[in-house]
Amino acid sequence: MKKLMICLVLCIPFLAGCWDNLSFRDLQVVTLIGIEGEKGNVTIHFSFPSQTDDQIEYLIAKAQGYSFADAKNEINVRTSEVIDISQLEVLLISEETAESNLIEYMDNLYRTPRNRLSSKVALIRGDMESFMTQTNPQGIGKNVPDFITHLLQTSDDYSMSTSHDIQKVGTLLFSEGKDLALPVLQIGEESGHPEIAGTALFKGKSATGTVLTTSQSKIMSIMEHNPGKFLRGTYEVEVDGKKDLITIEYVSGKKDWKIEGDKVRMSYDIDVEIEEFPIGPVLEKNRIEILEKQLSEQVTANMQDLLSVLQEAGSDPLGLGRTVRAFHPDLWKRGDWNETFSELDIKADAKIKIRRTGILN
Amino acid sequence: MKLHITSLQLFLMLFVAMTGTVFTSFQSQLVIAAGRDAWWLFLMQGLLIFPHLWLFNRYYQDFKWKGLIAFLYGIYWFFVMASFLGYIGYTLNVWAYPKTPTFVIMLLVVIVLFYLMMSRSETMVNIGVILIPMIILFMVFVYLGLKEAVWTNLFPLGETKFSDLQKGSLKAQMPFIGIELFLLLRTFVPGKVNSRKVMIYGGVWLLFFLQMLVMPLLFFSVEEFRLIPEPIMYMLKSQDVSFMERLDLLFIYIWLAWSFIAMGIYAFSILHLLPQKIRIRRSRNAALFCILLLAVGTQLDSKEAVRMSGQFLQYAHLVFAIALPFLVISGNRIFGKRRGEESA
Repeated sequence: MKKLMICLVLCIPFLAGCWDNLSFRDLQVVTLIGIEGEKGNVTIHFSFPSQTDDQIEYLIAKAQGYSFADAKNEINVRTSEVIDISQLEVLLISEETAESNLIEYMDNLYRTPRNRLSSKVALIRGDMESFMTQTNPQGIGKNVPDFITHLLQTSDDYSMSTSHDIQKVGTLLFSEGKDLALPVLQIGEESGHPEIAGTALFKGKSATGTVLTTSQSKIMSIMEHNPGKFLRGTYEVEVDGKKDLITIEYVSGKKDWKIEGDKVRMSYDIDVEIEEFPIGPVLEKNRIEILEKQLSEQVTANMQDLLSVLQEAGSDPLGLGRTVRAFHPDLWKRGDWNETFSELDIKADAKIKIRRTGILN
Repeated sequence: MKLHITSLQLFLMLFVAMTGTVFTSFQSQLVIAAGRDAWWLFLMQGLLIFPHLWLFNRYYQDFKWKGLIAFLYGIYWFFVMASFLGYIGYTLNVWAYPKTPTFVIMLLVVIVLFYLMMSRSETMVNIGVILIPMIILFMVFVYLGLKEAVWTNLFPLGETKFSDLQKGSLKAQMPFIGIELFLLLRTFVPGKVNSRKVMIYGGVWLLFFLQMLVMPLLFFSVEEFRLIPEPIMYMLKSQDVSFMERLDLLFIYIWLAWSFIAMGIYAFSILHLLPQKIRIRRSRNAALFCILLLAVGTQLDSKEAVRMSGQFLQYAHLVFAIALPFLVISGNRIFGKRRGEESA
């Protein structure tokens, strides 16, 4: 009996997990959060699934507070169950809010161990509430968080924008020599549901207000040497005196950055495959060389245009600063990297090589 | 009957004791102090493990485990265990059990430790084997972070001031804590232990800790180390895997088992320092030891206490792993030789 009692007493600590037991029926699991406002007056929108009549509806609630954590606590005043953000799928932040120090709104998500670090992050353009509810449920279904997650994944797969989770955003916000770039969503005028609008550029911990188009984002992913699964582009070419369109897909590439004083020369050798070329066989009459030359010129021009936009915004999402910091200390120590980056003489040069022509010649 | 272990068992025990608790947290302190120079600074210092262990292996017989020396090492290892316990309690509280009283978590750890202390010595010697597959699994998970690695994070070198490098050198001592256990555990291995085996062990230890330092350096920006005290855990938490929501929790249980066994090896060593007549009352001694450990450990479970005990251990390690062995071994060799000459 005595031994049994001792055993029972000693077993009590094995119930340690019971203190931290959280039952799903007591929680409102939030899968989508929207943040807008400014420090001192932050509004948080929460979207969470709720079972009604054998259907799952996505309900929304919003709360205001001095900070993200304050608003998160405030929401519990008006929900029947405790709001739980540990299963968050997507975090949306308004463009205006992102123009201040982003870490002020993300620290809670970044710091608390129960929170999911793999939640996707995107900026939104327009009214936050229109992203939380479905104005056009036929188009995207009722699961908005799931739709936005897949939309961001698709845009990353097709190199139309960047895709970062909370952890990566935190790392880039603190990173020296590389700036954050986040996808921007907007409600499509025709579709009425969220669409990719482009890629927002950051400078330090704040958004610059400059947004790249999806075409520029594709070029950025080549220059960053980090394209998604698919990267396709359509260009106008002139063959045999006729102008027509050619669509190419990125196959592989090499980058070579040479930094000498203030001069940066970025060379890219890019192998592509032809996706569409309605003029006819590519192999005829040395067409490959002609096409390669024209494509190289156009991609080089696109790269140069992108560099102008980046330098004007003072944002370095390519990570040139990382190479400079590591191997060119004189240039790095000149001052604030974003300022230095804007003043550099950067030239890009792309050499396109048609590696494959599809199953047609 | 005197316990006999093989050299392989010796190295396994030493590896578990030296890696057990420290490897999750030493990176942040080292990188905060030495910046990007942390990895080569650690590599340089890590190379010292080869002569260190070689000297221990060569002269361990001149280190007599008796009297004041045994008492001092017993106290030191007890403090190492108490600070490990405080750190385990704190870390589990933060990462896994925020609402569970720290005392209950520590009690759980101490109960397992009591069980290990009551087991046969052979159990303590061999239990580290169960960690081998866990360590391999853990390494695979850590390497999942390679896809986010930024190799330029390792450069430039030589930017850290000399005074910061000195601070970093002290922080780089953390992974060496427990090396002096070799002097005791070596006495259980009959005959000679080949120097080649000592070098292989040193290489494995160095490779392990270097990876544990370089991987977070490739993954995080230097500034982030100020915010993230356990970068390895944070790295694992960042991994998105389909079979588990929080990979860090799986790792925490691996780390916990690792720490249990590491503490068990320290307890095993302390028990062997006790005089024979005290050692007979094993269960009573083990229970008293565990109660005392729990009492001290619960005083070391706050963030500040964890930091302070970690700092104290860095200095204490220099005394117990370098200064005392040097003094005792050289003293015994000099005076032993004189006594030998006088008696001749």
